[in-house]
Amino acid sequence: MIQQTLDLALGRAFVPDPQDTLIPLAKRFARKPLIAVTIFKDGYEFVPVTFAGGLPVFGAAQTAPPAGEDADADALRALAERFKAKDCLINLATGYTAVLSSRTRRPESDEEAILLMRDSPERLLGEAPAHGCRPSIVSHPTHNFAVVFSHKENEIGSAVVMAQKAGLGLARLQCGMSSLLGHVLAHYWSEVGRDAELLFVDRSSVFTMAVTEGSFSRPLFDIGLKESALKQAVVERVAKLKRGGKKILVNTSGIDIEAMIREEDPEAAIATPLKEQDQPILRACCGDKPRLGYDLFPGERTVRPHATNQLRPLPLLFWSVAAVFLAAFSINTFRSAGYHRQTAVLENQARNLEQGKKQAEAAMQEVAARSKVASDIADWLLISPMTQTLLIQINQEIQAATEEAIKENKPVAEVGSLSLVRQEGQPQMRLAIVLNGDSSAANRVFQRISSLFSRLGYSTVDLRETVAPQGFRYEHLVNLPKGGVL
Amino acid sequence: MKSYTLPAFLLLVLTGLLGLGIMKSFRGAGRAKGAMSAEQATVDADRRDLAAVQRSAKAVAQKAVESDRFLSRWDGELQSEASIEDIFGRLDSLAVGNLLAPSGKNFKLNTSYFFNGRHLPVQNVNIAVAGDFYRTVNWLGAAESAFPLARVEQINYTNTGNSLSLAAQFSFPRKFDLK
Repeated sequence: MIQQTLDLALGRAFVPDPQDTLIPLAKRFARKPLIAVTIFKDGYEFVPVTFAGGLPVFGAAQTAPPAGEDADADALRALAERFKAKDCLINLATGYTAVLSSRTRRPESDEEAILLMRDSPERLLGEAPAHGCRPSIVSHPTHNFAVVFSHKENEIGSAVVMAQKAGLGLARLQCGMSSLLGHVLAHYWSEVGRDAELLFVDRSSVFTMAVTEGSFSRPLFDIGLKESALKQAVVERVAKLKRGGKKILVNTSGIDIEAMIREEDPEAAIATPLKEQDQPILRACCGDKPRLGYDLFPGERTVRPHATNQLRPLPLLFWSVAAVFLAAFSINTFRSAGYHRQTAVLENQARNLEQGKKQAEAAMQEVAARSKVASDIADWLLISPMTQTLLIQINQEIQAATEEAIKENKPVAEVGSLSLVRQEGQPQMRLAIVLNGDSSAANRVFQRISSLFSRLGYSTVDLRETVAPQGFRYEHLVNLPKGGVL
Repeated sequence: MKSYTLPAFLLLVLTGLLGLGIMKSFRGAGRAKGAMSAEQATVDADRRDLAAVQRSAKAVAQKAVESDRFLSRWDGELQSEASIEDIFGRLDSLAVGNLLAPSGKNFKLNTSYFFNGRHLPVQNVNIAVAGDFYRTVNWLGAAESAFPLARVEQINYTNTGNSLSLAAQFSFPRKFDLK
């Protein structure tokens, strides 16, 4: 299947195999030459064949007497090499018999005709073929009669061996007389008319048969005749022809049979189809119209199947899509690579920008941290004003109160102890002072201290006065001024 | 014809696969283009962000000039008050210079000093001096001038009749840039 797919894709499937007998010769050898070999009893005739416009064109014929199997094959090979042919067509002009049969069946197609005749001819013949023979059939155009030609298998075998020894493929092996009869009936039936006698003569055989609109007569034939015997046989046949009837004459013998007929029967209507043809029998063999010629080759050929033209668009579609695929793949790979490169550059830029952003943010954080430290130090300084100044001012207030008491001749108070305790980390301070003396003296001193705090901007949070052993203890909890202490 | 039914089908399948390959190739290129566009958008956004951050940083840096100047002034002070031996030595010298007799002194590292909503490590230094009031006030003022970052946490004057004793506790902040 892989091979067939390849053949289909590469278009080989549309080129017919030279050995494929189911395809007309004109198609198989449209672009290559063919050697036609007509085998007579007393020799061979080699004719190079080419096809032009579906019709065979024959070259100059060369004859050769039988010289032994190998010599015959050598002669055939030499000729084939000269004409660059690799295949041959063998036309058997001898070794056949012809009988009338009413048992034959018309095949439904050329393919069936060829395959059944090769594999089970009895299905077309209506009976078993003659022993040791391979048949070919020519049917009456309108009625169920047929002439069955039988060829001896040993002669067929000899022909096959010669082709093989010559190194040539055997394109077809045919009975020439059978092909000629079929060709004439198919193409010149209108000339045959209601009643006619067929007279086919080649260089060594004579074939006669009466044909009417509804029947065939028994075919008469003489084969393998030498020139004199042939002439004698022709004379006899001509003498036996019905007077006044139509005669269909195909003559390649070189004898002027038409004149002989007119001598015998001046009123005879003589039709000479294929008269203009140099090789009327080979023309019939190569015609393949309207039916494909039989192939008497005994075996089954191994041939490459032929694809119909219906499948022609398929390889075109495949290769078109393949071309588009390649183009798209290349272009898109190139585009993608470009995009990836650009993306990598952009990613790098994004990383750098992100790094720059982080650095800027870190710098901001650093600045913020430094600002915070500065702010903390400032706050620390705010809650840590110098105590010396306050102590001096408190001392001045105590002295002033004492001097005032002395001046007014009132009792004075004496400081027993003094402590300033600041609240941990807070802008708060607790003044505890023990003033020894009576209540009015102690109060006077403390009032001055309190008013000092007020003047300095301290705010009172708590104030307690308790009795001490020799006086009074004052505890004053104050908040430091909000703007700091001057 | 029959001989080529399966090969024809296979060829059609291959054609279909190639067609799929074409589509995939275009999709791949489209995805790459999309990724590039997305990255371009990211870069543009990052550029704008960076510009904004840099503007902010510049503004912040300008605003921070004063605080940096302030900080640089106080940073040296913070360093110089780091050594406890040095602090003791200077306090002693100041006491002697003011004709005071320094008595007991000790220190303690307080790591849980609460300041501005967080714990600040401070060195608590306790020192007691004896003498008359004016000398103690002078000594206190000299100490506060010598150690401007030191906070006088408490002072306690006690009058024992013959002499005046001052017990003082200072807090020396160790560092402010707590993280």
